Amino acid sequence: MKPTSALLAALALLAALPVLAASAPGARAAILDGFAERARAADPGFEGFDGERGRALFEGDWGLGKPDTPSCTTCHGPDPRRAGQTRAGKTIEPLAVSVTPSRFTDPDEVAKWFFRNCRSVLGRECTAQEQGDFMTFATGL
Amino acid sequence: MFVAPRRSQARQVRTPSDQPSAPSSDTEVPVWDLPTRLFHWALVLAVSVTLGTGLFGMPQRLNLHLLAGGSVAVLLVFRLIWGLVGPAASRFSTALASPRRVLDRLRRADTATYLGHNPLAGAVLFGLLGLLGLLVVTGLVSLGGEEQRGPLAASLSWTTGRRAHGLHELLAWGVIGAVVLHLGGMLIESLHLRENLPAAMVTGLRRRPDAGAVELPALRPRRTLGAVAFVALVLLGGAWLASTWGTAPSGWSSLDEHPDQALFEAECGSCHTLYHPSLLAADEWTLVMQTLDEHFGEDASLMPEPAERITALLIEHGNGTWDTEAANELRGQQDPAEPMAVTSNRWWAEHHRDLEEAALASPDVRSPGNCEACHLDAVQGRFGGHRIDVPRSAQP
Repeated sequence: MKPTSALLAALALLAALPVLAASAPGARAAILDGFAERARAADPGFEGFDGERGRALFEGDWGLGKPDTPSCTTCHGPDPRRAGQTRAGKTIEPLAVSVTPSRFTDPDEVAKWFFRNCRSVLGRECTAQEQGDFMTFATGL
Repeated sequence: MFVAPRRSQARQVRTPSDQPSAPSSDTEVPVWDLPTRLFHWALVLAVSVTLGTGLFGMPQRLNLHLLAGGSVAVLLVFRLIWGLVGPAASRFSTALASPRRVLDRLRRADTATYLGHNPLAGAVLFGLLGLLGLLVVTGLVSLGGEEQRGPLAASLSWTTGRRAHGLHELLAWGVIGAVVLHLGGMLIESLHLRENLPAAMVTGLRRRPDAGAVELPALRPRRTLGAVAFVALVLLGGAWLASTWGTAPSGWSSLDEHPDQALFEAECGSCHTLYHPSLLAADEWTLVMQTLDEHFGEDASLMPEPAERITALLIEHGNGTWDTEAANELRGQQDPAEPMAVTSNRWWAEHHRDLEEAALASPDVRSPGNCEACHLDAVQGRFGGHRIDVPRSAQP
C-alpha cells in the first residue's frame, strides 16, 4: 500500500466515524421527529418537547391504570440512571440514554412499550406530546 | 467347601496370606486382605453419603448423591471380582451357604467359630451386595426417566423413572435393614467370641482360633486377573457413560431450532422468567395470549403478527407434548379458577410450601413467579433438583 492510499483509507475511516457514532442518535432523532409530526397534527400550537414535563410524567404517582402499577417508577425505580425491576423480578436496564445507549432506537419497541406502559400506569395511551416529552427527558439525562 | 479341620489339620491349612508382610503371630492370623478392608470402609463412607443425601438432602444434594452412588457402583464391581478371584475370606464361595445352614446358625444349632463369614454373615453379605446393586440400577432408571439425566435418559419414559424411584426408596430401607443386621450380627458375634471384630476389619487380623474353628480353604488371590477385570469393567462402564452423555432425553426437546424461539424469548422473557411452554396446556396458553391486555396486573399487549406466531409455538409445544418431570407433575393439577397462573397449580403449591414470605420479600426473588431466581434451568423447562440454588437473600 502506497503512503497516499493508506492516508486516504485512514481519512475515509475518520469520515465514517461520525456516521457510525451517529446511528443511535440518528434513530432517536427520527423517532422524535415522528412524535413531533404527530403532536403538531394533533395540536397546531405545538411548541416542541420539554424534558421537565417528561420528568413530571415519569415521577407522577398517577394511579389511573392497573392497581399494581400506579407510576412509571413502580418498576423503573426513582432514578432513571439506575436499573429498575419488574414486578416479576426481572432487571430493567436504566432508562437514561447516557447509561443505556440503545434506548429509544427501535421504533417498534418504543411504540410497544409506550402503548403497554401508558395503559398500565395511566389507563390510556399516551399522546405524541407526552411520548416526545418523556423521550426528551430520558435522552437528556 | 468349608474346612472344619481338627487341630492337627489346622496347622497344615495355613490361612492364606496374600500379604507376605502381614504380621502373623502365634496369637493372630491374617483374614481380611488390604483390598477387602479398603473396599469395606470405602463402602461404609459411600453408602453413608448416599443414604444421608437420599433421605435428607433431596433434591438439592442430588449431585453428591450421584457421586456417592457412582462410587458404590464402582466398589460393587470390585467386590464382585474379588468375590470370585480374591483371597479365601473374600470369596463368595466361602460365604455361600445353604438356607438350611443359615437357619442352623440363626437357631444356634451351629455355634462354630468361623474365620471368614459364618453362614448367616454370608447371607447378610449377599443380601447387602444385592440390595446395593438393585439400588444402583433403580437409581439409574429413576435418573434417566424422571430427571432425564444419565445414560438412560434417551430411552426411558417419565412413568418408568417414577416407578423405579418408588422401588429405589423401598430398597434404601432394605439396605438400612441389612446394615442393622450386619452390625447386630457383628456385635453379637464379638460379644460371644470376646473378640473385637470391627478391629479385625481395620488390621485384617483375627485371633488365632481354638480347635474346632472353621478355617478358610487355601485359596490364593489372583491379583492380576482381578485388576485386569476391574479396570476393564470400569473402562467399559465409563465408555457407556461417555457415549450416552448429553444425548437428547426422550421426553424433552430443545426449542432452539424453532423459527420463532427467538421471538418467543424476546417478547415473553423481558418482564418475567421465560415460562416454558410445557408449564401450561395448549388451551391455557391460548387464554393467556387472548388476554395480554390484562396480563397479571399489567398490559402486555403485542402486535397481532408476533402474537399469532407466539400463540402457535405455545400450542404446538404445550404441556401435553412433554414427558418431563415438571410437565407430568403439573398436568391436570391446574386450578380451574386460575387457569393461567402456574403458581395456582396444586403440585406447584405443594412443592413451594416452604417458600416463605421472607423468600418472596427478597429483592432477588420478589415474586413467586420468578422461577429462575432459584431454578437455574427453569427456562429449559427441566427444573432439575440439582439445579435449585436459592439466593442467599432468600434463605431463612
